[in-house]
Amino acid sequence: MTHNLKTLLGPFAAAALLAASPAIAQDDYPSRPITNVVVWSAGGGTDTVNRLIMAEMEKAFDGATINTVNRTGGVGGSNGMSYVFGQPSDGYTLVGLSESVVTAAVQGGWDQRIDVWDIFIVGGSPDLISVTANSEYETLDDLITAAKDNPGSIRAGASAAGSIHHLNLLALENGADVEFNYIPYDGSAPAQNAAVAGEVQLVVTSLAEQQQLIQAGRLRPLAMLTPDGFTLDGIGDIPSAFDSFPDLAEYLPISQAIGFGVKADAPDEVKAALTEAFEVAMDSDAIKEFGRNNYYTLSGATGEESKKIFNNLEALFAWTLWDLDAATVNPEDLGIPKP
Amino acid sequence: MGTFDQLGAFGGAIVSMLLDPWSVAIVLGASFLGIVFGALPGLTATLGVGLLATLTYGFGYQTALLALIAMYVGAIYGGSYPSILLNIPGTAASAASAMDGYPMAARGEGGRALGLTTTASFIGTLLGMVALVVLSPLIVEVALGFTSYEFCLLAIFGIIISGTLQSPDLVIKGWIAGFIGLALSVIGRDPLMFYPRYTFGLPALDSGLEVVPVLIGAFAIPQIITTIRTGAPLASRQAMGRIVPEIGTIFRNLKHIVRSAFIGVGIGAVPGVGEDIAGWVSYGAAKSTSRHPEKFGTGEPAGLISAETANNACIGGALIPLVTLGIPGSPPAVMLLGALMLHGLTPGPMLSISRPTFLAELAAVMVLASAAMCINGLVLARQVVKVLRVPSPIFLPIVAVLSVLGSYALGLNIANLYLMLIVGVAAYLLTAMRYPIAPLVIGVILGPMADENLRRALMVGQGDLTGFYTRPVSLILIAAIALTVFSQMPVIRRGLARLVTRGAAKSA
Amino acid sequence: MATTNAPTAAPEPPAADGPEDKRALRKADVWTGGILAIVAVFMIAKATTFPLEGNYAGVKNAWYVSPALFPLIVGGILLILSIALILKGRADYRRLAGTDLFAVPWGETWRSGQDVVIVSALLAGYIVGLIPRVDFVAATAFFLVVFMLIYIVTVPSARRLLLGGFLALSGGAFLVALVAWPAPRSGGQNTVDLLIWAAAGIAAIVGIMGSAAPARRRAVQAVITSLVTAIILAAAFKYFLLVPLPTEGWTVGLMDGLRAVLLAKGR
Repeated sequence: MTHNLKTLLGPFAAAALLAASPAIAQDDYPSRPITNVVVWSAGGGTDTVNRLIMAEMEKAFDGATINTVNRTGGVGGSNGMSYVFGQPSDGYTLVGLSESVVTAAVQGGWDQRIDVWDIFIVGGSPDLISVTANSEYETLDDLITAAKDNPGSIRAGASAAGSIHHLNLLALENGADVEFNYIPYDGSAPAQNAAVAGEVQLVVTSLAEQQQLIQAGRLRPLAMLTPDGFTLDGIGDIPSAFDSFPDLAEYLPISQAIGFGVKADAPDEVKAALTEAFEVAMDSDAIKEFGRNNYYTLSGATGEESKKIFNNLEALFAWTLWDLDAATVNPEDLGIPKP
Repeated sequence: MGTFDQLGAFGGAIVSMLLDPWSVAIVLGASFLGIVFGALPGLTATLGVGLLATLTYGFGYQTALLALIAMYVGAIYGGSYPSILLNIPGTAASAASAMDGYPMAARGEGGRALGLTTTASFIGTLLGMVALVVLSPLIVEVALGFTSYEFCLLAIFGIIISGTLQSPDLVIKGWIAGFIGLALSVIGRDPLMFYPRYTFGLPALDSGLEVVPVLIGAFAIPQIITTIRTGAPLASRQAMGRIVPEIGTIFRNLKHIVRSAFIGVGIGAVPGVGEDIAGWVSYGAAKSTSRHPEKFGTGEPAGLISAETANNACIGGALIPLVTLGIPGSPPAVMLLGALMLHGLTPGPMLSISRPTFLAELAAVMVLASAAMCINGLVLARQVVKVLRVPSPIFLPIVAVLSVLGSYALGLNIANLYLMLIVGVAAYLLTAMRYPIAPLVIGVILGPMADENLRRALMVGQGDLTGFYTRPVSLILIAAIALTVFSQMPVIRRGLARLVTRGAAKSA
Repeated sequence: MATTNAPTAAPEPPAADGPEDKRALRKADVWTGGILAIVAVFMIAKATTFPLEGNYAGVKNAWYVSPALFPLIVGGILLILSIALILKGRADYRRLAGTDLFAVPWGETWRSGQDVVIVSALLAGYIVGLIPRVDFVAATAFFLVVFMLIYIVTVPSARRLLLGGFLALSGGAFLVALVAWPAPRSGGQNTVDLLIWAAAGIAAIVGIMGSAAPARRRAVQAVITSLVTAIILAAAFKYFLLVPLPTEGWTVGLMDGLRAVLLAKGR
């Protein structure tokens, strides 16, 4: 009887012990399931990339469980970031994010700088400028000339004010010294659809988002907004905008950076374990194939390298928004240096 | 690739999946899970597809596709259970089903309502699949022609329909409820300029009010408060023998089914609009073309059938731009796109080249998914009706906890719980004063669409309104709006009826 | 079914439709019309402070692009509708020979409305007080036990005790958290969770004792159902639907550990 009771209660006792011990020794991290909190909604680019990298990291961690959840809301992903920031710095709660979260602070979503995270960058897809398939503009030069002749007459679609694609569009306007009539959309997909329907004449989004429409002959790519051109299978070369307008180098490239972060004050052993698993995952076939199929430039930046990238993005986004009058908090008050 | 090859691939895919016990188990299991997801308040098809995207990561793409589509179909259908049995829609997609489904259940025909829903959803899914295979190229052209003008008119059309819904007291109260919804929808960052409107500096309000907690608050809380008192089961007597679908009723409502399927496919194919409003638009269309609209809202099978056919037909519609151009047509399809990308499959024009049989396989998967939904539905209906026998002091507190979890699950945001509570208490007060509550929810869903597209249309036209009546699709939408408005005016309705009968007499 | 109080969109017109109720309804219409009119005016006033022209966030602004356009339209129509409601309500009220538009029958309002107050207070305590800071299983078991028993117990004082105790504890948690709250997974958090479990236990005893013989069986049923439901829902959402619970304290930790041990045994 006592034996039976013991077998019955055994799991409970063990569980109680597990529950009671506040923090398990760090060297066997991860010893319980990790939660990755993506700050954007399910199904988007950030979400997909995070689910993929987490699935691969699970393998690298030798079967540990990583649950990816979406905690949306607030501005610039502030709701998800505030939640993760309020959790213990033990590496069991990660935050899945993209470059756009650097706007959360200047828009009043929360009061932290981006360097409260140690970020692992998976990569991003380069931006390009395209026009409606039957457009009269065959090259970027045609478009810029037309825009110069008649400033503000050409309608340009991009996702909402302050988004990465809007910043790319602004940089193009500054670098080529032209003015478009910017029409904002609630995301890249509706902006592209509007360009297909001819509601806007040009659209700036990423290659990953546009590739299907380009392949289907619905959009005509004019130029990559990166220093290098790009060869798209079945379509041919897309030249770099820098070739005709070298001044762009002053403003571009502004690259997407999708990845995940851990609180910067997490123990070094945890960060080391995450870095190791991240590197194994970045080297996996699934990630490489995903990058190839969807035209992502894989980065793999961690530690100081990614910190520098994100600090630059933060400065750029924060001050651009402030100059556009679209920020509620002065970046100076947050201690964000001018880019 | 000829038609016969495609047909062969389609048949081959069905047979091979049916012969594989593992596939059969997966499709039945995923479909069941989908129904549970749809039936629990707040757990939507989007969330369900997202969950399976992670769980199927290790499977091959065909198995994963089977599971995902079965989940999607099941979740859209499952939302009708709580709508019909409790008057608490599980998802926004099935809110219109409550209008006539709940009165049916309340008079003891819960089993019959569920049987009709199952049949209508089954037919709707299949018609959507047929549209996907046969009409894709045509539909995608129309859907891609949608610009801000058309989106704006579509939103206005939906809002007008909300005004035609039965108002238990003064007609004006329906309009007021709708405009309260529209007023709530402007809270948050404005979608064009990102300017914070009515946020009072609270970051929690920045992204606006989410539909799911508003929906749960508006329907579940008033229902809990009004029925907790009685202590008796919600509805003890149910005619149990009628769960088997009635071919006769279905046949009599054939015109509603065909029209609803068209509406569902069309709304599904337009990017960014989905199941949430397909049911409403179809319900409104059925009501305004019916010869006895006064029966709608009192347990009219035609209303239930229209709503359920449309929201399931929407699935096939939403897959049309996804498969042809990689543009998801509805929110769950967005999630489906992400899930397929995890499997190294990017839907779009390249897919038909790299995997020529994909469309045939997808059609086969949809047939199996709807069959699984039908089997699950017929088995489940008899069981779930019994839920109504649980005494309400035990049952309703559990519904309250489910409502809380459902409001929380989508964004894991505590602020959504506060929102649900506030909307719930306000909605109770409104229902106590005999306001219809459905227009409020429609207002919250359609407000941002109307706002954003109205202003963008004006922005594109630089303040000029001609775009609203010079484009073919917008003209059709304007005609539909005018027809709906006029059909609500008794004088014109009687005149039209006379015209029709006279015309019929003449031609005879 | 006939015993049910007017469910939303009930098929049969609710029983209460006499001239007395019609009068009360019209009086309520005048009042709500007034409140809505004030809301609409506020909405319009606030909208006029939005950027109406000039550039904003890189977008060329004009009257038709302004964020104020839609709120002005909606607010304007809402204002017209609410004034129409006031006028219609007042005219009908006069016709129904109602006298004082501003008299409130408090006693009657309380009798017909006390369920609203009880249910919303319980939900508010659960959502605002407990969920953000107490272990989800404990909070849910406590909430369910109290909610179910309040509508089962037959002794009025037991009912008051249940409601008062629940509101005091959940309100207390909210107030304490305004000052400070123990960190997640700390000893303080564990103590709070245990306290709520103890409260749930006391509520169960009070409920069972406070039910006269015929209701007592149902009370016991309710207590068991609450406990089982809280555990099953928490487990289903956390492990099956992969939805992390709002607050994971001692009980959820115990469940995690139990699951880990069982999985290890299964292997």
